[in-house]
Amino acid sequence: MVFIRFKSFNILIFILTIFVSAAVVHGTNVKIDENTIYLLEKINNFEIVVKNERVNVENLKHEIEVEKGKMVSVNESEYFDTIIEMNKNIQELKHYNGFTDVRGPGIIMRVSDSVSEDETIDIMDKIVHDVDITVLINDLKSAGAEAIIINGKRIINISEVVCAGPLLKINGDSVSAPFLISAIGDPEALYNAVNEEGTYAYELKNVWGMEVATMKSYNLFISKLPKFFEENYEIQYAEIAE
Amino acid sequence: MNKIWNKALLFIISIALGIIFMTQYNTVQNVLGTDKTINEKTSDLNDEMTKLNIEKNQLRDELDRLKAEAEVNDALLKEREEEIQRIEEELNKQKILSGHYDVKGKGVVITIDADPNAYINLAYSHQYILALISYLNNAGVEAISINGQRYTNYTEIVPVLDHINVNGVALVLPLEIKAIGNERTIEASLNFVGGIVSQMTQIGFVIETEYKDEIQINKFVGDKEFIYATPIEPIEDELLEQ
Repeated sequence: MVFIRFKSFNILIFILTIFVSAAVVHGTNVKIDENTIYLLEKINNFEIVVKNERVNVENLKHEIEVEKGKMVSVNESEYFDTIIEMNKNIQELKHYNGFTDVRGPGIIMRVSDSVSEDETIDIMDKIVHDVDITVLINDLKSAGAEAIIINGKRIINISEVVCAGPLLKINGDSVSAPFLISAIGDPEALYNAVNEEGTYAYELKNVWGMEVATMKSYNLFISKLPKFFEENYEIQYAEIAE
Repeated sequence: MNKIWNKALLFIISIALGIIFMTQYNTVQNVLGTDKTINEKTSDLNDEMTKLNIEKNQLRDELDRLKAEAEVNDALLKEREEEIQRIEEELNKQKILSGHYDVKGKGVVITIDADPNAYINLAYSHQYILALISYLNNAGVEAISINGQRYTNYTEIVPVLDHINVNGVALVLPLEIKAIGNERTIEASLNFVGGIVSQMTQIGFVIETEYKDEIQINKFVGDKEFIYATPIEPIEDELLEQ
């Protein structure tokens, strides 16, 4: 039994020896000469280049993903909806604020200095003053005027009517008598507001001798504030309080 | 004993031969690679390199396209942001002017009361309040309120008995007029010799002005319905300009 096992072992050694010999012969058969080593080196280098190229490609893919991520989509409809909504609000506010041309029924008034020959009236009282026009505007507003213009100057809440020597200053421009006031609103109510006894205009005409003439109109045109005013007017001090 | 030695020796030899065989095999594999020849490997690498180059060029083109698109997108977004900002500024301006929003800013608080020794009927003197507002406007103020009532485009000051109604609300002395604007121009517009403050003081009003870095002016609470004034559409507007 021991003999058999010993024999098997010898056979194993023999086979292994054959394998080793074959491997050595195979090794010598590959003919690794200088040229082969040179080629192998070149292949190795080439492999490195290819490997780098793979990395470059991966980097580019990554860069594209990053770029795609950064890309903010431009939502056309949302943008235009916003613009349309804001412009609609602006347009409504402009109408409210006197920045649009308007048309409608109302009255036209002509007010000029007194021609009264009554010497008891002081000369200064014969002149149409800034406060007279201010009160007339207020009376027209009280009667529901929706738009007022004086000698082409649209009256809004920031309009001043102040004395500028022999002239008046309205919206930064000088205005001289006679003062032509147009107001859009209920013609009857507006007419009464400057003609009924006891009104300021009535007093101007009948007490101080000023020339006050009024007529109703059923299709008045009142222009907006001039474009340069609208474009150049800037809010500098006030801001909306949240 | 000798047999055991022989067995041990043969065992060691077989282990060594096994190691030599595997080492030799691995060395050949490492030098030459797998079963492929050098030419095959070079060819494979060339193919891969070509594919990688094509892919890289495509990716570069894609990246360039994305970058160009992003640039166009950014410019468009910037342009739109600027446009929205411009419209927002216009909207804010109109909102502030309308008086329908609370506003804050630096300005003046004018307190108007009657001298205890003078008889003042506020209703009879309402034109002074109107004149004062006009002179505040002359100073370029951007918002005005009278005892909390915002002065809007349609605010009227109506004398009633011994008081005044502002926006339909009855007000009595003392009045507190707030105005947002430039301190120096307000001062100059109100307090010149013979100006509105001096005129009011002469008839028995006591006026105190206090300039503050921040005042708040409340919005007008209410609606304005336009019945008579119809805004002229922009198209019609343009035709009129032509």
